[in-house]
Amino acid sequence: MTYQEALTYEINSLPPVLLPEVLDFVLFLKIKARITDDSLSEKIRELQFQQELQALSQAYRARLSKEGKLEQKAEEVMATLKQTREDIAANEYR
Amino acid sequence: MNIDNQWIVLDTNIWIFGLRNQPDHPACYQLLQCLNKLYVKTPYQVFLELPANLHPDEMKRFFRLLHLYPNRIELSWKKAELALIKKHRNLGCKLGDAVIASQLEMMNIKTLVSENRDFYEEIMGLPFRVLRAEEALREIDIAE
Repeated sequence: MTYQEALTYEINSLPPVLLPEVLDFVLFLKIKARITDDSLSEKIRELQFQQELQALSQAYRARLSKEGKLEQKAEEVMATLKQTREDIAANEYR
Repeated sequence: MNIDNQWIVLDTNIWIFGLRNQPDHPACYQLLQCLNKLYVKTPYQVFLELPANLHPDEMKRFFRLLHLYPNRIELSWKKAELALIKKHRNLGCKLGDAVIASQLEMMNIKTLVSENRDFYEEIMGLPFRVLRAEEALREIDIAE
């Protein structure tokens, strides 16, 4: 006998007066389980996101280190970013 | 106005300083760690600038990261309108910054997060406010 069959059997054997309260309780349990599932999958996604962000950052830093660019000062990086922006914009909107 | 309940744009420098985990801009990495709490649009210009810094395999991983939150992180493929570029050039923006400003205006974005001083110190009259990563983090903290 499956879980659902057993539950249906038990519910059918209840005195009719108790039925509404029991069904309310079953509904409550179902909703509670659903909420727990949702928050669990959100937590898993968040964890996956943090891991992938960290892994990407580490891979990027490793490459920059190999290319001798990891120790660049922020001003230097910013200057390169600004130049890239101007070059791309000039190319796209000339 | 708070950044936890509106679409914002992260400038290229936030993504790059964040991924570099730049020691003198720690707030950029911390902000990327909070992406699951934000609504972020990526304008076409930023999208073009990222591959100039990231290798193709790093871009793949970057997209995989963004796809974890498709409802919170969106890419825009629209080029800037020339009239808007002209308008922002007249405010004093360089061409590239004028393109970004125009794309923000087209997307009706009210907050740009950027470490670019040209934006947050020098240009007046922009139709959006400019926050540094640290200020953006403070707004997230306040909202929580």
